[in-house]
Amino acid sequence: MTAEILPSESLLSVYNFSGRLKETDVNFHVLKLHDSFMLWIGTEPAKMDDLSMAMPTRFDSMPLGTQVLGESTDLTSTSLAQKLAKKTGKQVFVSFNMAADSELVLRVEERVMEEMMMNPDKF
Amino acid sequence: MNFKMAAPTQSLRPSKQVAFKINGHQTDISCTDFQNRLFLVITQLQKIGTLIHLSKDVVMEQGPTHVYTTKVLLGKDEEHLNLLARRLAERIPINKPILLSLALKDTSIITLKAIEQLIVDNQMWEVR
Repeated sequence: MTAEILPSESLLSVYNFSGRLKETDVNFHVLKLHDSFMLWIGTEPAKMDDLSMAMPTRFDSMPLGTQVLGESTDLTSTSLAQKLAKKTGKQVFVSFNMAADSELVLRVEERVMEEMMMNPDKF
Repeated sequence: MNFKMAAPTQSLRPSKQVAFKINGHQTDISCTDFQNRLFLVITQLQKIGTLIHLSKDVVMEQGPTHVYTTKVLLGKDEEHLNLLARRLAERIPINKPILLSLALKDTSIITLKAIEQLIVDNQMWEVR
């Protein structure tokens, strides 16, 4: 017995954008899902070594955040995921794959917020 | 705030999205290629579900043999998910580790087989 398979329209979508931040070309890739999204951030060559997840909960005004992949000593992606989850009310996954000092991290966050404001439907 | 945009061609992350209805259930499959990993999302709930790290190693035992390792990173460790993960590891001809996201409404064997076949038939790992 085999399953019935019919073509369907994709309910997920992807979006790419970039920014030149502190003399670095930073690339962003968004996978939009239902009430959630995954945001990959990095430079060329594009690696995926890190992933954090955050989601709002009823129990705390601060979303629950957890590191899924990567160095647990680097809280950059967890912190950003929590900020975005708080802002959007969605479950957010962030993958942060570049060396960045606090200033560059801030610029990255600002670039994300800017893009979210210009294109909210992409997230 | 004034950000200079980098040239668009540099920022395109190769990825592929397909969708099917398997026994009536909307099934979205998305694959994104990174230098050191494949990120494969298979979802019937339009959400990221259980995240599984899937890696292949080759051991020399009466000739080269592939050994697959699955590790649940987030979510419930369920047998049928590990089974599907292993099947995919065997059939996807890529040696990079795979980060697999699985969120299924229907976990019957015929659906798992259909998902496996769709990924192979559509060569989801060929994103370029």
